Amino acid sequence: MLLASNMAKEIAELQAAGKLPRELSASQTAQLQRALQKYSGQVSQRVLSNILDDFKSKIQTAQSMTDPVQMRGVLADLTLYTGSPEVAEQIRFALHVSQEVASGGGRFLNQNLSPEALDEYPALELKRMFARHVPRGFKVGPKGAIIPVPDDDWPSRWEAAGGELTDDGRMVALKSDPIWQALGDGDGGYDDTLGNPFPPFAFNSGFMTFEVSRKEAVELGLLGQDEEAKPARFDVSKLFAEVA
Amino acid sequence: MTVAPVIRIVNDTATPALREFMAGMTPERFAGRVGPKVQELVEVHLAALGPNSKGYPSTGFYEKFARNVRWTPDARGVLIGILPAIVNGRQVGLALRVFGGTITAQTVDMLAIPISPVSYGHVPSDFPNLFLLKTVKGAYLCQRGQQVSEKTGRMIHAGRGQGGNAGRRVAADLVFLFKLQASVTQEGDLDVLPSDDAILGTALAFARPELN
Repeated sequence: MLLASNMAKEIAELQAAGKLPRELSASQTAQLQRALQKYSGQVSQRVLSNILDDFKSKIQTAQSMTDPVQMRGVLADLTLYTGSPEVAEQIRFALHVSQEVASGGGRFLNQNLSPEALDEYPALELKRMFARHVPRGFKVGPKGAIIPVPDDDWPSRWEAAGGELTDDGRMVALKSDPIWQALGDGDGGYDDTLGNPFPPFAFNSGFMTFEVSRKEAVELGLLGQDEEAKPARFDVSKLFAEVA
Repeated sequence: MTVAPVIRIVNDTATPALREFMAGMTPERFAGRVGPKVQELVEVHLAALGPNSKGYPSTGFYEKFARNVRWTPDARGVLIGILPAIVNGRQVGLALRVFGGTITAQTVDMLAIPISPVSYGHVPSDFPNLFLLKTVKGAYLCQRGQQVSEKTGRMIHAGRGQGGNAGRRVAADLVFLFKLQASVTQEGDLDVLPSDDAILGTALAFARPELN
């Protein structure tokens, strides 16, 4: 897969240069590459399966029909598969998401594997980095109006995942806090999440994690003054969630 | 006659503080302290870049690169890298946007340059039934256009009553999607990245917060 090989090359180059991330052993790097290949392979398989299932279903529908007028409509649908922008868009979207997740994985490793950076910035804040026309927590209503969807925005999800908002409404937690995995798992009943303990936590999300200093983490009561900062607990070989 | 001022330091508290600061500031500590915040500066800067200059629908070009910014420790301090991103199925870097340059066709004869909001962010294979049209102004990949009447829902012939080449183009039901060129030259834009002053300012602010 193009995606996996690209990421593997990046990791290898950074490793060879003695740079990012220096705590990642050769076997962990190999595990990470395998996990990425498996992940991007799964995404592709899922896209192809969906397209194939839909195609088969339409063929079966057409076979069971006797009315030629109805059949013509179904056959017209089938022509979508011979160069349809919609199908191309579906494939493009799936690969776009997998690319974002792979990038998020690299960023997550960077946040957790340097002892010095972990000590300096033991916590993360979840907040918007990328603008969205329709932010999560809203939907397009009649006449194009943007209307709120209760309990779907990130602060609601944060609380549903067991997190507490700060007094001024910020979403901040230690890197080692299980809330990051809970957000990715959609705790609270959200089914648009991607299963990863790092952003993007859900499809088309513009929220990212920002590093929070030790001083601020102590002020927020997340960490004691001299308490050791801990990284997120993760298994490199299972960094990317299986595609459902 | 001028009098040179003499400053006598009675109680030097700065030197011990500086020594303590320098002793604790290993290259790894410096990188771990400064790297994440400079990375963040670049990420936020890229994320804030507006849509494309032609006003076409955004493809999230800079967002892809913003997600790929990484800090790494370096012998001289910290290195901020922007890894390549996949754009339209191809791996591309950001350097061309920053420094400019000429792209020439490598694996194909000609480059297909999107010239319509419809084709922006797409490649020719995304469009079925494209055909080649050669004109005195160059070669184009076109699609037959269709226009549906809002009143009747039927197909109507567009472009009637419109003069000139534009009218003829519309009347012919043609949608010009790509222009074919052997090469394309892009101007550089240093503003794609934060200024050196902004980077240095951020690095200094986070390298020595206790001395500020």
